[in-house]
Amino acid sequence: MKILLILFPPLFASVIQLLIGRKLPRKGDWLPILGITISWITALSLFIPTFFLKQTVPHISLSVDWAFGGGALGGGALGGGALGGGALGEAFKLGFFTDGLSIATLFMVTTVSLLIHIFSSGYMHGNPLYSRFFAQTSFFTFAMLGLVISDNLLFLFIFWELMGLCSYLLIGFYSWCPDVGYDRDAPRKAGMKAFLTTRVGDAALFVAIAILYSATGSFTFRGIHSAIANGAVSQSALLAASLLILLGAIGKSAQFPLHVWLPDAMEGPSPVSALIHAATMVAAGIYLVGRSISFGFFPESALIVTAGVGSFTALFAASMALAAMDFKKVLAYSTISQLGFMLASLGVGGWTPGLFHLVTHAFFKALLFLGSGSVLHAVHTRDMREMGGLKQKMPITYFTMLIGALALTGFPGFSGFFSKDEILAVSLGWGMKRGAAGYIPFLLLISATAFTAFYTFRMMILVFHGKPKDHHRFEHAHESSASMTVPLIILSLFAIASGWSWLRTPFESIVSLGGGALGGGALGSGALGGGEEEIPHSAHTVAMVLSIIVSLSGIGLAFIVYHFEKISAEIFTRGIIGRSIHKALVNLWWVDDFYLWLIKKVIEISKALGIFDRRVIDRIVDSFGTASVIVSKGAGIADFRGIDYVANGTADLIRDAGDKIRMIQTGRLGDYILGLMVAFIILVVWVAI
Amino acid sequence: MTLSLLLLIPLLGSVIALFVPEKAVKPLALVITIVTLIAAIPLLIYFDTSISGFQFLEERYWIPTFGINYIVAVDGLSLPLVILTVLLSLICIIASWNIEKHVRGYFSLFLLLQSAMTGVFIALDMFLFYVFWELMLLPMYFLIGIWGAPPRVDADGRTRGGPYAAIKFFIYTLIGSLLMLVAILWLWNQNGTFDFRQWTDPDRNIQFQVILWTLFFIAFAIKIPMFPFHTWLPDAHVEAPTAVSVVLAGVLLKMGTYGIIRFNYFLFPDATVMMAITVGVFGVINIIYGTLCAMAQTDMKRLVAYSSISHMGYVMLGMSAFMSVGRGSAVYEGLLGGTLQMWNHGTITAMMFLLVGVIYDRAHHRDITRLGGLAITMPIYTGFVGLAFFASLGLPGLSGFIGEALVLLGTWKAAGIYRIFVGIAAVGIVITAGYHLWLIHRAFLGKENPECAKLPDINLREIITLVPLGLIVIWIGVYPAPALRYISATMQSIVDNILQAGL
Repeated sequence: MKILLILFPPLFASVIQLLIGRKLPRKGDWLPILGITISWITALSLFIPTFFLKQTVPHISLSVDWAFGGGALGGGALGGGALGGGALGEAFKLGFFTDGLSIATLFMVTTVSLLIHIFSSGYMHGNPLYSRFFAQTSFFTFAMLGLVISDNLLFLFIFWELMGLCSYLLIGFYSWCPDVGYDRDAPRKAGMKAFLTTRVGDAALFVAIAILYSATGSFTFRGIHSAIANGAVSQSALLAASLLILLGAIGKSAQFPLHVWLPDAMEGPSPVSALIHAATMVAAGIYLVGRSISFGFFPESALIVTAGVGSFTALFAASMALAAMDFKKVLAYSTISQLGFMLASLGVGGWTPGLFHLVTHAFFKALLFLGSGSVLHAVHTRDMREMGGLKQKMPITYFTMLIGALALTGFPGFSGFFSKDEILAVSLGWGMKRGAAGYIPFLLLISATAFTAFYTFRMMILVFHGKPKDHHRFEHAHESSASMTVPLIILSLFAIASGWSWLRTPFESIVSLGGGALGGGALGSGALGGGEEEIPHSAHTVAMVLSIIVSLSGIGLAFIVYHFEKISAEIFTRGIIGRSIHKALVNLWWVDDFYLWLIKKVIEISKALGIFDRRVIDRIVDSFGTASVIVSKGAGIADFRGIDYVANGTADLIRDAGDKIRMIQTGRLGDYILGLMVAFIILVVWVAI
Repeated sequence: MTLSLLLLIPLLGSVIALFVPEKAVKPLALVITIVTLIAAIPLLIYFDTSISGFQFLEERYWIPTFGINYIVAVDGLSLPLVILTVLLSLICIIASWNIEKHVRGYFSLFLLLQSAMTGVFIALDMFLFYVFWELMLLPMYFLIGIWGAPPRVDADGRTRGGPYAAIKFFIYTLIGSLLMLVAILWLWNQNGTFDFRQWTDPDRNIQFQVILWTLFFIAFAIKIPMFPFHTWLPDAHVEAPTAVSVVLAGVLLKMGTYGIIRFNYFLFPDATVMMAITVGVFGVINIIYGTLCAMAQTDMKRLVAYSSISHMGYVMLGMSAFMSVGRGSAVYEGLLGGTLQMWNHGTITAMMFLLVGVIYDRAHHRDITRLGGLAITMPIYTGFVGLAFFASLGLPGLSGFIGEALVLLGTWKAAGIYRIFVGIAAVGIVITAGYHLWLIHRAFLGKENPECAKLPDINLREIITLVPLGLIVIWIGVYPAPALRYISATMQSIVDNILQAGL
């Protein structure tokens, strides 16, 4: 029952909104807000006992026949099919369940989504497709919630793809809008890019599902888990499946090398960036990997790959944020980088900190994006070179964003500190155990931490501090309305509190809840490797000290360069090394160019094939026809009528058909059809007798 | 009597249509197709989904001297296709409301076509089957030839247009059916009856099986259409009027895969096991080749036509994966997925051709490069296009996904070389999404093209043709169990039959 209350209110709100939203008062924006509030309250009723009482909440699960078997329409004339009762009926069941991890994620998703919907009612005001926007975001919320509580990979995949659809529609949102002063070209390109890039990961994920299904006969996490525990899955199959799952997550969570879509996705409205491209959907990839690891799908070697991809992306994306001038793109690269932290953490055995960072990041990144939306709303540009000095004009936005920025840099006392610090500690511990090359993830992550601190405050200073660079825009800027600032304030509270909650109820005690219900408990017992890893105590201390030092120096450098302007930013682009690095950063390391080249090649091949189809294959067919006509004509001249009929039936048919068409054109079509009918009816009557 | 009614009502309508006043023809055709649809409802209600064999069997003597009888029946394989035929015929009649040329002839032929198509799916006597198979060609030939596009010379200097496409379609199919006729007569000669159920012979030698199998297969492969026998399809589609394209893609293509499962799989299990991988290879070629060719098209209708080739590839791939290589154990998902995909492709592609027809009626061209910003000028139309296209690219929650998903799951399960097929098909999935979105990108989003800025949005009649299909697409996508229930028993027995008899 509770599962239905979580899942369906946003869906119903979305459908009603889509059909009659425009005719409702306030264009129906209260419908999704109401629906998500119901989901939120239900999620809260699950979260509170988990958080405060550390209770194993009643394990909730629900399972109905979906593709085979009795189902809702079962019984009567439509009774179950032959395969229904069997293995297929069992495998294709629509199932949901909750445990500690999904409850924590549900709480995060509903909270962020609710606040963003309230924010949007102010931000999107006056848009011609106002009600459609809410229908889409509400449907997205439904899909995300469905993904979080799916108990099997098939349905997870279905919701995964539905989120992809929402993402596509919402990134391109402005390209569907009539007469808005926006450029419609960039959004439509960005939407297509996002869908197709993630589709690569999706296809990989589906193959992974096929591998696991074929080996275990099940889609459910628990079913696959017990099959793996029983040794039913070969090591090579498991490795292939886990790497393909990882590729799926790389697509959805915008990790290298499929990260290219996320910066472009900033063409969507800011609330969309906050909800989908920062807090929730992009986290789904991490969530999937986390779930898969907890059920033992990832062998040791796959975990190493995970750690490598995550930590490399963390630094790689942070580097591009250093040179970006687009306000939202800085945040986008920062999101990619933070998702890299999470993935790396999962890979090095920091299962809990990785998922904890997922939750804390959702709050402070949503806050930062909404803040950027508030600024955009005021100045109507995304270029930071045209901002500056907005601190006086927009104090609430400034202070809330400052909290978000401090959380992002991992400043002590803010939520990012608690989670990121743990990640660094775990990766250092992992390195200490393995020695030499094992330190690579830690080194990449700690450098990324320094970069993060620098680019975050570079952004804050360029936007809010100093003197206004564009006076016209500055004059017209004003603080946003309450519907936008209140969500910012609430989110900034979460951006602090979600970190301190660690001390009240450590995250592992939440996510390990329900472990008992998972049949043996993948995490609880630790029987399957790859869950948690014990780390030396010294790693904690070293990591904490180092992370504080690099964050503070990053922030300090940003202030020296951009606030006090003691050192010119030019210094970084001087010299051959500086110049070439800057060039690489501005060109985004040429990854996009490589994909463009690849796509061009595919289109070239398809064009060539299209011509081949028409000019070669079709010509061959045509020439057979022509040849037979010539032969038959020759035969006709030789007056071998009888032989002609037998040998060149084809050609004759062509001629016959031609005659028939001529016959029709002389108005005898009716006669012909009538003749055909009469003949057929005689046959039928004969049969009847 | 139910099945015979489905044959007789449209046939009767076809005759009456020639004698009523021209104005009354369209309403008459509408009434006839509605009555036929109502007559088909008992099939759905009284069909016993737990039985794998034939139901609603009717047997009558016809020409007993030659072992020719009137035998019709349906099972889980043919029932969905019969329903599809009846439903699409009704929709096509509504979609043809704007036909002005030779109205009597058009609707009369259309009803005749409906009768013949139904006959192909329900006939168990091979003589009867062949009669319907050929009978179907004639109305199709005239519908494309007369009501299709007028003859013209294309850029390559070759004559195109309705008559060209019609003759091409006709000859292609005829060559195939002549091969099939040889096989049919051969088997008849051996058994003295045309009832194909009595043609099974466990001791038939394998070379002989393979020859007969191939004769049947080529006939059906042309219909699917399978690479390299596919070139009639883009031409036929491009030149045919909208409603004809709809039945062509929606029903006629299914006759190919239907025939293979019905006759090849049943009659020659050993040869089927032997040739399974070949079918799979051609399936994969269809998927990739169709997808890449679709990507290259600028004519919207040609694009949809090539996408049909690609989607029928999934059907072939699925039905080839009925057992796991090496272990020889049964795999049901592939055939289930393939059969479901036939139905899904029928509904989705029908929607797509109807939608292409809508824009052609308004803009009088289908050139993607000359459209643009339609999402703004025709928002409701764009909504339907979105539904159909996302269903076609296999978005979960819409019907296209579940068929393809089952096909890929089954194919992976079949192990061995089939796993490579899955890998290639996975690449196909990405490119498929590519050309669908690229079309939306170019024709519907972006700057409005002044040429099509004043086009009126979709009208009520067109919406009526699309809504039933749209609802089916959503329904099967959200909850496929009712649809799969009809086919699962039969598919199970088909697979079991091959594995028992084969090798």
